[in-house]
Amino acid sequence: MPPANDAFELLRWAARICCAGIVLQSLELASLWPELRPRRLLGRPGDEGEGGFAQQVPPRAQGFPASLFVLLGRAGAGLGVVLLAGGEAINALLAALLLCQVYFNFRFRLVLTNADHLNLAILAAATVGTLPGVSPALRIAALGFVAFQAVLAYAASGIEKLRAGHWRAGARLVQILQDSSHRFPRLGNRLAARPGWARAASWAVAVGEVLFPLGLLLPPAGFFAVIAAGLLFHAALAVIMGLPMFFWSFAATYPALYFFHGYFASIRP
Amino acid sequence: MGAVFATLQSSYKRMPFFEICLTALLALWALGSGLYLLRVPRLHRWLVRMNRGLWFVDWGVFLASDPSKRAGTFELVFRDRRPDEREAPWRTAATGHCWSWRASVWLPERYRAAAIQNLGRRIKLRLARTSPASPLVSRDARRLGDYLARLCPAPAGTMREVRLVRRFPSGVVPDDEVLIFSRPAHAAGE
Repeated sequence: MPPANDAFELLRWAARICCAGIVLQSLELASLWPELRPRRLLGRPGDEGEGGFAQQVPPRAQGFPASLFVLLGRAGAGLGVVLLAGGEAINALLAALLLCQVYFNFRFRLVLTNADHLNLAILAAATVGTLPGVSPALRIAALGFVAFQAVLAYAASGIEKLRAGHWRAGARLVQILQDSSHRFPRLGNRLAARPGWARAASWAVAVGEVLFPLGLLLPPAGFFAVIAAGLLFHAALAVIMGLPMFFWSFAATYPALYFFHGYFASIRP
Repeated sequence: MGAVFATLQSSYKRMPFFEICLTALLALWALGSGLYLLRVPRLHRWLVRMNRGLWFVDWGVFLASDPSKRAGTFELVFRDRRPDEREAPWRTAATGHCWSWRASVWLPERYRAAAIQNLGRRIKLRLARTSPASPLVSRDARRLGDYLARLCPAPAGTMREVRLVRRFPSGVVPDDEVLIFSRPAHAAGE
């Protein structure tokens, strides 16, 4: 890990982690290529009459095989960012990945998760913040943007859960595990049989998310414990619920949190 | 670290114009994300229109007030009828209900499962605003029907009929169903 005050290197780390997830996601989706063909499950969504961005992209660019080529190109560019040690090639790759992510977020709306929106934010910040010759102020603004999105994501998710009665009662967690596309029925059934556990797990997740931003103000040991807990949480979601992209996206925001943790420590009397 | 931020204060004053623009864009994006999540009613609706699921971080969309609650549930039902058979039992291929989606044929691959779930959710959201006969609803339902037909092919020599049925929370089932497709078995899944 680079020093806490090296904004440039921390942005590079954020981009690397995010790109590792993008590579895996792109290859996984590309392996389902028969579904990308016209009228198939993941076929072109452009004629939905919803207006907006999709209407402005030529149908051929959204169809097959263009979508497959974009996925493979995205995987290649992501791999480049992960493996390259430095140089201006990374800037070109990041800009290309940002465009690919914009394409991905409308073309693959049917399989989009919130992690993909976070990827867009991280790639935008990394593209801007690692431009050669830009001032440290812009790099820090880019890191601030990523940190804000992470803090917002955790806090808002936690607050929403606390406000929703079915989350507080544990019923929603059971329902997701038993019945959604992210299901893990065995765990869902166990929790359904023990409502107290379901309630405790729901509250633990919600309170943990709400309090997550306070980790920035803790001493280093506390901060790293919070980060480790975050990584464990997302790793568990990846294994249990099949949501691996959240692990990479949120881990990619942690370098920005590390930077601001250092800043808050430096101004503390 | 403190020294870094002290030099920053002066470097902000010397930022070139394009950097100021980039910083302003990031700040605007962050502001949009924050306001989006505050969900001030009118502002939220406007941001949703602006957003189109692309620009702002989309947390909470699935938790936002969901018009699909008003749509009750829907079912995608099908039957495979032989030429000599006047009636054949309807079977439920998929059911959409509030907050979640279940396909009776479970799909292990997460992207396929997510696509199925989102198609179901989209059908529900559209049903809240319109009828099953709307072209957008039937297009999604057809895609779902096609996919389920590939997973669960109709027996040779039968005619597969797929319908979308909406059931309201009151339990009353008005004449609110629509034929999605009806075709010979050999064409199913093509």
